Amino acid sequence: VITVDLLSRPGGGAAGWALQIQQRCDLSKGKMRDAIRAFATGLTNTWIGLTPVETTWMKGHYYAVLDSSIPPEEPRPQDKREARAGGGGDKSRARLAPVIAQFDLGHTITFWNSAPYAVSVEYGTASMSPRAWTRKTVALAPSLLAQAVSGRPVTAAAD
Amino acid sequence: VAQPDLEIIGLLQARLAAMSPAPAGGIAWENRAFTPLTTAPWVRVSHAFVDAEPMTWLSNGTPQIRETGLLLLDCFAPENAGPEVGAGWPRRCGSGSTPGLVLAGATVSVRIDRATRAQGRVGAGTPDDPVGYFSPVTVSWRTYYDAG
Repeated sequence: VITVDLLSRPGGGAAGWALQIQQRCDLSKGKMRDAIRAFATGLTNTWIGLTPVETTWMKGHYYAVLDSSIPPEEPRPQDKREARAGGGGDKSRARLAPVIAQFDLGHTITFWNSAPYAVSVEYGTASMSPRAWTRKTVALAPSLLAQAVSGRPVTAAAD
Repeated sequence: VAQPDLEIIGLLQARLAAMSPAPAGGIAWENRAFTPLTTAPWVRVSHAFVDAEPMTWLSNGTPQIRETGLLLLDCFAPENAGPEVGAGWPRRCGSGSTPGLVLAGATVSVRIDRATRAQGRVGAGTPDDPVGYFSPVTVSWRTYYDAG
C-alpha cells in the first residue's frame, strides 16, 4: 500500500524513502522468515531432546501441521514390533523438517505428540511425578527465540 | 559460588507452607515420605530448574547468572467431590503466586513470573493412574545471582 501510494506521487525524495523502506522490509522479512524457521526447529529439537528417554515411542511420534489446529489422523502401529520400534528423535525431526521449511510469516504451525499417554507423562498421575518436558520447552522458548532473531545458531537440549 | 538451588526451593516451599489452612490431606514435598489420601484434598510439589544463563550486563560489577524454573503444584481432590472442592486448591495456589511477587531470601530473591492452571484430569483407576481428580498448576519463576 505504501509503495503504490508513493509511486503515484511526484518527488524523488519520497519515492527514495519508500524504496528504502521497502528494501528494509524485504530484508527484514527474509531474516524474519529465517528466524521463525530456526526458532521452530530449535523449539522442536528441544522438545524432542527433553522427551523422557524411556519412552522411545513417544520420542518418535511428533507431528506438525500448517494452518490447522486439528491434527489429521495418524496411522496406528500395526503390531507390537512396529509400536516398539518407535524411531526416536531422528524420525520425528525428519517428519517435522519439511513442514517447518514451509512455515512462513502470517501462518500458524501446530506441533503435537500423538502418544496417548503423553499427557500423563507431562502432568504425572497420583502415583507418578510429572516430567514436565513440554512446560520446560515452553519456558525455554524466549531464550531460543532470542538466539534465532540474533542470527546465532539455536542450540537445543541434548537428545 | 554454589548454585543457590536449595535456597530457591526453600523460598518457594515456605510460601506454599504459609498458605492457611493447609490442605486437609497434606502436602507431598519432593523426596519426602507421603501417603496420599483419596478422601481429602492434597497437593504434590515438584521443582524443575529450566535454564541458567550468564548475563552480559552487570548490576554491581559482578557477572550475573539468570536462572529460571518451574514450581509444579498438582492439586488432588476426591473424585466426585464437586467442582468447588476440585477448584479450591488450584485457585489458592494460583492466587498465592501473583505475577511480580518477589520472595526475598538471604542471598537470592525469586520473582514469580506467572501461574497457569491446566485442565483438570480424572484418574483412570489403574495402578499407574489411581482414581481421583487433579489440576496441575505451573508457577514460573526467575532469579539472578552472582556468577562468582
